[in-house]
Amino acid sequence: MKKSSVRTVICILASMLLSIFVSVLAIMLSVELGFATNNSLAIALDEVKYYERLYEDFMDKCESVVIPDGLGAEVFDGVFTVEQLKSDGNAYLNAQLNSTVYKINLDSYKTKLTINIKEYVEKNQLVADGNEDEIIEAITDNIMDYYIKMISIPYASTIGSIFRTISAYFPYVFFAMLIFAIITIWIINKQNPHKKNRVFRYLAYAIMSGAITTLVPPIYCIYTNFYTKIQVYPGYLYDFIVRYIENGIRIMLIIGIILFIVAIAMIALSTYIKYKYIHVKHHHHHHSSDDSEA
Amino acid sequence: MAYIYVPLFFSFLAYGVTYLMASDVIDMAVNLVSLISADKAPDFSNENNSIFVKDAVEVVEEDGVQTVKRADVGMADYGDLYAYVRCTRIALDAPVYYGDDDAILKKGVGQDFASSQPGFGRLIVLCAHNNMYFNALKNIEIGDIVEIETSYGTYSYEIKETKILNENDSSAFDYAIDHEQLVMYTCYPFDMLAHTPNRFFVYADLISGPVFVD
Repeated sequence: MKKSSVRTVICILASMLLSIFVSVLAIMLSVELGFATNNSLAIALDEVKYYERLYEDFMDKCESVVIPDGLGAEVFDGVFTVEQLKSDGNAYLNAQLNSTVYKINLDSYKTKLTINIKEYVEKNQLVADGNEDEIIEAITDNIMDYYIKMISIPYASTIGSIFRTISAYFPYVFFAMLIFAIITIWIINKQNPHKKNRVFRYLAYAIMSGAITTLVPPIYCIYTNFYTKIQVYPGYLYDFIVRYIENGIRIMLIIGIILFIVAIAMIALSTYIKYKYIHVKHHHHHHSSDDSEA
Repeated sequence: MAYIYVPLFFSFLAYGVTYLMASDVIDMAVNLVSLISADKAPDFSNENNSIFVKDAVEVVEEDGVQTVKRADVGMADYGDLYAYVRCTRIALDAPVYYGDDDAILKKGVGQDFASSQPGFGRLIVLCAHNNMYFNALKNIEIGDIVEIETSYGTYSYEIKETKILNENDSSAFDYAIDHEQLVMYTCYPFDMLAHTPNRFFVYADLISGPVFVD
């Protein structure tokens, strides 16, 4: 086998390995920045006005809970506020994601609700079938349990556990891929000490491949929209999940496009160096011919 | 061209190797997503549709008998507002929705969707909260007339009987009854704090209303 052929095979293999390292780096970065952060969840929650809509749904459900008990919607006047629900919801979500305990202070809600119910009972002359205080306490306890159930995001603890695992491994994998990438670039450079256009060509192959690998999943998601067909209820939870996925897809798309631009720059650089080299060689050859003729 | 097919080849190879290595996990993820997905995005419009249009269907009166064409009678879907139930003496006037979930019972009177619309000669079961639309039932008396106004005419029923039964009493009404009967029920006693296990049932028989003709 000719020495130049061996060199080409080594460069192709190194380029292929580099494409894998670049792809892993890009996808891990996309996942870490776009999906696996508490911030990405918070942004999606905020964008779809999750807690504002949850508050409306919660108040609606609360009314449905107390109406069969003989009470009216006005017993909730001044008990819960959207600001407090948002604050409780965010604190509870952070606790679930970080696997810590956050105890929501329900005392003020319960006290106010109890006062309102007693006023309602007196005003509407309702009769209690048993101890009135015990009945009211059972109703308020039911509502408080419902409050905690409503503000918790489904599977938040599991999601937090996945985030923590990804974040724990991310620096090591990122660093390892970076080292491997540098080694492969060094190998490619070593094999082509005098032909830099070839170095950039192999780098362009690898980075373009990384760009394709990174761009395929988000383009597939955008093209098929399969994630919008998930049957999740209620509407605000569905909107939150879809927005969270879309935000993550956008980050992946941006990273893929950046890689694509870098690959194009590498192609341009390789072509430029190649033509410059040919031009210099041709110019040099032309001068040599003139000298011999002279 | 090499700048296209070489990177494409690398990417295909990378995806191929990834699929071979993690095909079980990928298949599981795909199955999981398909399990919770449908052909289209879910519909969250929870606004109940109203199919009630006053005097929408022509009622022909001949020899004291009212008739409507069967083809003109609109059938309600779950959640549709399709009628109004009224009893002037007790100030009962409420919209009737087909279905009886919590959301419906906050907006009006709900109809057990296993029961029939007026005019079909079958059982009609209506329910509502006793502190809302059916609070008026506490004043109902035998002989009172209750009307159900639909888009295809108004049906009148005369109250024949009232009963207090347990919520689980299966003898409260009969779906296979051989004549058109209106049953309305609500929680009992009225003006009580907390959930009550008993229900106040009101039974009424059809006395007038349009007959369907082909």
